[in-house]
Amino acid sequence: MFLFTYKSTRVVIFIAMILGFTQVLAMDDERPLTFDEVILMVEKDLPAMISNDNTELVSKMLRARLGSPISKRINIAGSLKSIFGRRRPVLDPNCLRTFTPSGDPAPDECTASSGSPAGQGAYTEFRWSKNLQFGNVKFLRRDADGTVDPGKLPPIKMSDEQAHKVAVDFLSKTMGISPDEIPVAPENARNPFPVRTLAIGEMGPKGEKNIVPIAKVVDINRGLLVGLKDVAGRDIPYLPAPGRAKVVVTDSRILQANVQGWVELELSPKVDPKNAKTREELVKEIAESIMRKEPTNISKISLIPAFNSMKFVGTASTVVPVGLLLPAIQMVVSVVPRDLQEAEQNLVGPNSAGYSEWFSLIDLLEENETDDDE
Amino acid sequence: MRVRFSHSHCFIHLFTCLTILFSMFLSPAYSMEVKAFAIGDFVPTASGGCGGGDRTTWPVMVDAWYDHMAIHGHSKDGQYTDGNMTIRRFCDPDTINGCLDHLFVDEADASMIATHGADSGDHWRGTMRSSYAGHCRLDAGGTAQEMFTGDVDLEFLHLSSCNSADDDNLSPGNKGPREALTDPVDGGYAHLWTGFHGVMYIGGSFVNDYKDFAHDAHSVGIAYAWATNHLRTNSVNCAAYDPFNWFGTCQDICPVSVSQGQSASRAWVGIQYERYNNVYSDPTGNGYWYWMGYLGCDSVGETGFNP
Repeated sequence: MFLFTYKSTRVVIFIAMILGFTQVLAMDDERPLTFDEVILMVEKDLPAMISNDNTELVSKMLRARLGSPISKRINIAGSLKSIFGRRRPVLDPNCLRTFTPSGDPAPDECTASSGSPAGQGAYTEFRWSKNLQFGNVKFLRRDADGTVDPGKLPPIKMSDEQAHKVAVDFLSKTMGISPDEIPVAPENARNPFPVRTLAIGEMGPKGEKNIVPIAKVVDINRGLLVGLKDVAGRDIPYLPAPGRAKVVVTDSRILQANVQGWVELELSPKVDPKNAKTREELVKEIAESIMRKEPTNISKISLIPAFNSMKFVGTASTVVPVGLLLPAIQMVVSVVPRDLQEAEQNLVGPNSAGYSEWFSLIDLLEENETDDDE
Repeated sequence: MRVRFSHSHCFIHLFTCLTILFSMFLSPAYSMEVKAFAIGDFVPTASGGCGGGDRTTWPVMVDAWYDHMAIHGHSKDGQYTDGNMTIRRFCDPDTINGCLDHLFVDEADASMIATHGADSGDHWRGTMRSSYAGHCRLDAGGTAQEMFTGDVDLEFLHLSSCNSADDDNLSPGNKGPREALTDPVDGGYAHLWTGFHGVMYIGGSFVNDYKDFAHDAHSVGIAYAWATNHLRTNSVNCAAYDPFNWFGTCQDICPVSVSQGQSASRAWVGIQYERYNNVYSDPTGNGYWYWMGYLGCDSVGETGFNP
């Protein structure tokens, strides 16, 4: 009985390997996919919650809970004090230029720093969008060259949960991020904390190998509370929204925080749920976009309801630039199958890089530029 | 910027060396020459090209780095997008007749290459737009015999390309990227290679990562700036019901940096301290190396990062 089972298992593994290899080998097949083939792929991967009447879905998305924006939460003087202490940072003279020569709100940042960015000394920098509605707030620091002894690198002991807590606290108190826009994992989550461990590896000619985990990097995608369910009844409490925050944490201090594109969002009169696109329209639009990339192979299409923002409005006369909240579908296309073994990687054809793209769930009244078009 | 070149190469490429010397005396002390190479419009094999799906935003991503380097006072020394992108711009003249790396990738202090990539045994290989001398792919590092930089000018090589820093190529016993950062004939050593473990992605949302990388690499180490700005956890292949990876359906984008040196201390300086405005003297060997990356980072197309 054991022998039979063992042999059967080997046969199954052998067949699986053949199938896997066939799939990989097909990646070198340069036959362009047909439109009908792509339509079938998109139809399969577009979640069933996208129906031919998306009025209700869009209505629910537009009721997403927006947190208080950075412009209202951040206290620049307080942040500077928390970062530089009693040292008085140097302010870039350009900080006063909050409009471009053409009269638009300046999208760049104001920098306060201590030390010189050049040379080998210590340096600390805090930057924030001159117009905070653009949503960029950044902090970094470095020690002087030679400060760290590579032989005495302290391995980080902090857990992912602790790092996440430290990062969220810093983002909220110093970087102006509303905790309401940081997704909180449900109790049954297997991976509740978006944290990775940064490591340094030392390798030498005689096979020396010394790997030291040096920091936790907390990488938070902004999320808006929507309280959706998919057709299988699974909860989707938050949907991704424009903005990302990374915080580098060690056991003793925060090394860096980068809030990027956490734009101030508002509802737009142009976004009317009655103009929600149908599933059929979306499938066709997405497939047409894929075809423009001249695809020869696709392994996976990830299609997720999410929020995008239309480009900023606002000029010197209206003063405040904001992003307009746009219910959308975020697409990520992967050409290479996940987790290839080394021998298979050698067979990957000329395609490899995946790509991301956004599709509005709404027929807009006029053409608008959205973020993240591939 | 400090420049190192071998006499034999100078003799062969007198014009190049004179150009380097001239620019060295004209440029401010902190100024580097930077070059960018990007393919967005790949040519199908049926049309005589090397194949590959189009990624029109790729050159835009690289452009964000290139433009921001100029804001920091560096010299825009060449931006090559699509066109006649063959291995000639990257391969060393000692390898294939007609190779011109001394006029292109190795002629800059910092270069970035953006194209489809794959892991070929012990090294990275990138897809070109069209073939040269029968080569549609550029093989670099490990046992590959095409790309050898550092003998003319290059210090920092950035690969915006899949599998350009796979974990298996960083292990002891595999020289991986380091073999492309030196020239076995003319000598010389570049400082740093940055790339990705597994698959990386293209899109408008990545453009600012390249700008931020260029900015940060003047304030903190280049290796660290690459690793922090290009990391995207839980950002690809998510299921619709799991957009934040709470149930394990998503995967990561995994940047990696690699330094080299004749000693552990020289390699350490490269991974820890070198910035675009804080460049140490060239390594004189590559027996030691450091990498910086994320343990277990779960990229598409590769197993978790574990050199």
